[in-house]
Amino acid sequence: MSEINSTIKQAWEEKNSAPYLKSSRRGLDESLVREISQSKNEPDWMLDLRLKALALYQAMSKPTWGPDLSKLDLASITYYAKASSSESTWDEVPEDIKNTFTKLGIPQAEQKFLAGVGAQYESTTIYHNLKQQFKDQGVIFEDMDVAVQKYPDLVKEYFMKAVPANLHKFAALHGAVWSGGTFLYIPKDVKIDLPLQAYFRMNAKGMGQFEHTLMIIEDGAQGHYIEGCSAPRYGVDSLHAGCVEIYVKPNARFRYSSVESWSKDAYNLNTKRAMVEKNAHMEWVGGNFGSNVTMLYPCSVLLGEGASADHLGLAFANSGQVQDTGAKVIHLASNTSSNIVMKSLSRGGGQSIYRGLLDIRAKAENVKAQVNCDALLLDSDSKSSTIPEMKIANNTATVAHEARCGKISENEVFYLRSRGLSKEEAETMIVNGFVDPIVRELPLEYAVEMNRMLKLEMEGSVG
Amino acid sequence: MLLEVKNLSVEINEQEILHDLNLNLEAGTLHVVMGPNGAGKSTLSNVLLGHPNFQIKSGEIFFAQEKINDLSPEQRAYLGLMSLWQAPPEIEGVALEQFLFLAYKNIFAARDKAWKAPSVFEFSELLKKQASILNISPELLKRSLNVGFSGGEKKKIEILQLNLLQPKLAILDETDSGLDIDAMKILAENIKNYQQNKGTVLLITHYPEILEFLQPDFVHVMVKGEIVKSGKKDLLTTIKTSGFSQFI
Amino acid sequence: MSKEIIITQRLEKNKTLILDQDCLVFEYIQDSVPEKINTEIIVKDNVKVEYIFVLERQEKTFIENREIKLGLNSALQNYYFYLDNNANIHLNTYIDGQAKLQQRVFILGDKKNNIYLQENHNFLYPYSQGDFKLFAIAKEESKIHVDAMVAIKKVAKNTEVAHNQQAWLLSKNARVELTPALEVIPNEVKATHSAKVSNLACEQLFYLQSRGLDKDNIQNLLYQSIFQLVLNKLSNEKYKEELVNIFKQYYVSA
Repeated sequence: MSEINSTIKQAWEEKNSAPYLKSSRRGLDESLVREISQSKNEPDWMLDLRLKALALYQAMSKPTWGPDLSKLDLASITYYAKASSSESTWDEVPEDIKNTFTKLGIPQAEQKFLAGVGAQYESTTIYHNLKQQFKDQGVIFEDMDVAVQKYPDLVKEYFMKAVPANLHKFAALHGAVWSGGTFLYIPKDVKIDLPLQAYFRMNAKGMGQFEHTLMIIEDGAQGHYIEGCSAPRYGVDSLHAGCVEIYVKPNARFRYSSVESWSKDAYNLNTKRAMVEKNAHMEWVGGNFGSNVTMLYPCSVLLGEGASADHLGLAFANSGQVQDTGAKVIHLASNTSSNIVMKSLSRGGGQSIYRGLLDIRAKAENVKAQVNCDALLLDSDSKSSTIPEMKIANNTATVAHEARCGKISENEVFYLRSRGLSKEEAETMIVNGFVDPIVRELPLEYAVEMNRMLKLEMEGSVG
Repeated sequence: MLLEVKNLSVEINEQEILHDLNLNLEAGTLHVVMGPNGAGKSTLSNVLLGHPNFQIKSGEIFFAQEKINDLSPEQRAYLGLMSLWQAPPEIEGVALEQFLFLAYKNIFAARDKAWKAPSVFEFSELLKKQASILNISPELLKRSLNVGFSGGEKKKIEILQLNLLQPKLAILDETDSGLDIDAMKILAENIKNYQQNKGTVLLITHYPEILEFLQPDFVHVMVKGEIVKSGKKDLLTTIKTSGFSQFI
Repeated sequence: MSKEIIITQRLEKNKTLILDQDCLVFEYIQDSVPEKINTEIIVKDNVKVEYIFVLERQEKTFIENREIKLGLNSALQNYYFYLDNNANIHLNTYIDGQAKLQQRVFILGDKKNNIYLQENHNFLYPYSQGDFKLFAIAKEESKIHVDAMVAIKKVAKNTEVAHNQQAWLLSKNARVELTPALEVIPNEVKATHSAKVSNLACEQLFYLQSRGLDKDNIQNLLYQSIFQLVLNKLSNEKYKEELVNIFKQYYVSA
């Protein structure tokens, strides 16, 4: 099939042997949490955080809102596995791991296009590299585990403050067993033009992944970070309960792009939150494919006056998948604005759900908020739900929400065909046009990859 | 004979709209089909284009000696059949230039196996030239097809495609409706040029203000799904003075 | 001339209305209703109904469960007016036959009113049409919360639905929560929904004032315009006028 066309999909199917897994065990208890902390040589305050989170995890029950998580057996997941000690140069990276990254096109890309790349293999970071110029400016782009050691004060100040452990069960779980991830610090007024990226990979059978991403963008700074994920197919549930915390300080601008394409048996239950301060601007751009069940609602908290947020998202629910995604924007301050554009596609019995929350608090004057959700059902077996919640407590707010749902317009197809396009060409062109507002915001290679993934997912669904 | 419609009966949702319709067009001529509302005029153009919602109950359509009853819309485009739509759709995210390039390649490649497609750059230049003739701003070419275009701009894009794709038969289905006099002049001018370049025109309209600027070779009156009267230019005068009631 | 059914009281807890011929139902309740009321309305095949329901000034919070079933080729124009109440309303509609449903809900929240409206519209048959509009005006310290779900089930191909909610917050302490939810399974449908929250912002107020209107005039003007929108598809002039008069009581008096 044309799976062969996609290099990344091919790399997915690589089943690198995972010799290190023997040292890990299934299920979660206090001793495992202590083991994790100890093997990382963590300071006491971090161990303390973990244990408190563990207690919360054990006390809480699975969230009742969102998709059906009844089939997720938390006791059978492996929560931690260490592959090899952290490496610092490309040469020292183990061969088979290197191969995977070569296949994923990372070193080549890094050379040409990106400022730096961090990559995670299983639960520890193998390779990290940052271009010299950024280092000189005081930009920190580091493995999260390393950051805890090297920049404890910074980490302590921000870690799990945007997403506290008591937010929900999977935030608590994350707090207890988090491992690896990315730490980014952009100092005052530093503007990074090239996008930073990291590429995750879940390899071993039944592996859970709990990376923590913490990003602090100081006053007047600017940056763009891209996250991409993949996981090979395995029979046992894989669980991903990561966390992303972004602090956008006054007058700063930041964009977080992610193209997530988990294997079809994974549970992707992420928590992503940005705290946006005065006159700062936050952008979330996301594409969600794959995964058995995805629960993902990036949240922007507009704390300071004049803050703004844009959420652009695309979700594709294929056969047997549930994409429960959306956006949350909380307006706490006056003169803030937000714009949400969500597009979803469903086929083959897939379910795509948009869950949104627009929360305008009483003290937030003159808020302008806009939401646009469109859903395209590619056949009659799939399902699309749109559940946009709007809570308005201030009477100077202007809010508009619009949604449309249906199939590819017959009239549009007929028009294109009457100009010589085949039915398949016409439908593909329309679907590409449908997702264009989101795809065009991604850097070229991600846009190309996204289009490729779309094409793959669409196979057999048109015509 | 470029187009032959023989005893065509067409139904939609089990309702017969066209009854035993006959119409013949010789290459290089300009025919006008007029009639009151509900005569079935747009059904006629939709059926000629191969719209899937309409069922041909009986009869045949021949285009360039080929029977096209069962051909798909794109296959008819390859043969050289094109219509300028009255209300072209707005298609979000589909860049106009990109769409035109694909249509151009498909149609010309189908006509001549030896044809070589131009490069993206070459096509872009060609398109810019054609657009400037019609006073279409180049910025419009980069935008999503028809999205946010004014009525006049949409009509111009249809004419642009006429000039670009060079069909054998151009069907104008009420394309002239809602145009101001200047826009009508531009449309008429381009149709004249098209005809001079061996084009054939089937103008379907409610009231032909545009015929102040064009010379039809044949005029047909369509009422309740059939052609009830055919004649030459002078038929227009009759219609102008006494309307359609005399034919019902 | 279709039959007219006039109801001025609601004393019974449970009620079933079976409508088997074209009619207009005008239900205007001003007296107290029982704390919990259950209403079932069944529109039979081929019947056209205009149903107007006005409930006002209930002092005690009441819970209303309303179920509506539409038969084959039926048409229902529903108008619900909730004026100055504390209420917990559940509206469930089942469209089980090619039918046309047009619904207009108007909620006026005043003082410390707390109104919760939950709507569930289920399309269970192909080729039906739904046109839902909600208008909510929240004044003073009122709180209006609307959770509406329109579900188009697998068999309901070629359903066309438009679902719109509009709210106006007229004071600092007023609150509104809107969730216009849509669930669609068959892809041969046309479904749209929208929600809008507006207000009389400073500039608009100032503009109108600079044209000689005082605050009270402006509020009445707004009321009038919104009410027109609610009633614009009601063909029965007699009841249109009656409704306008009922609503005039809520205008700010000169």
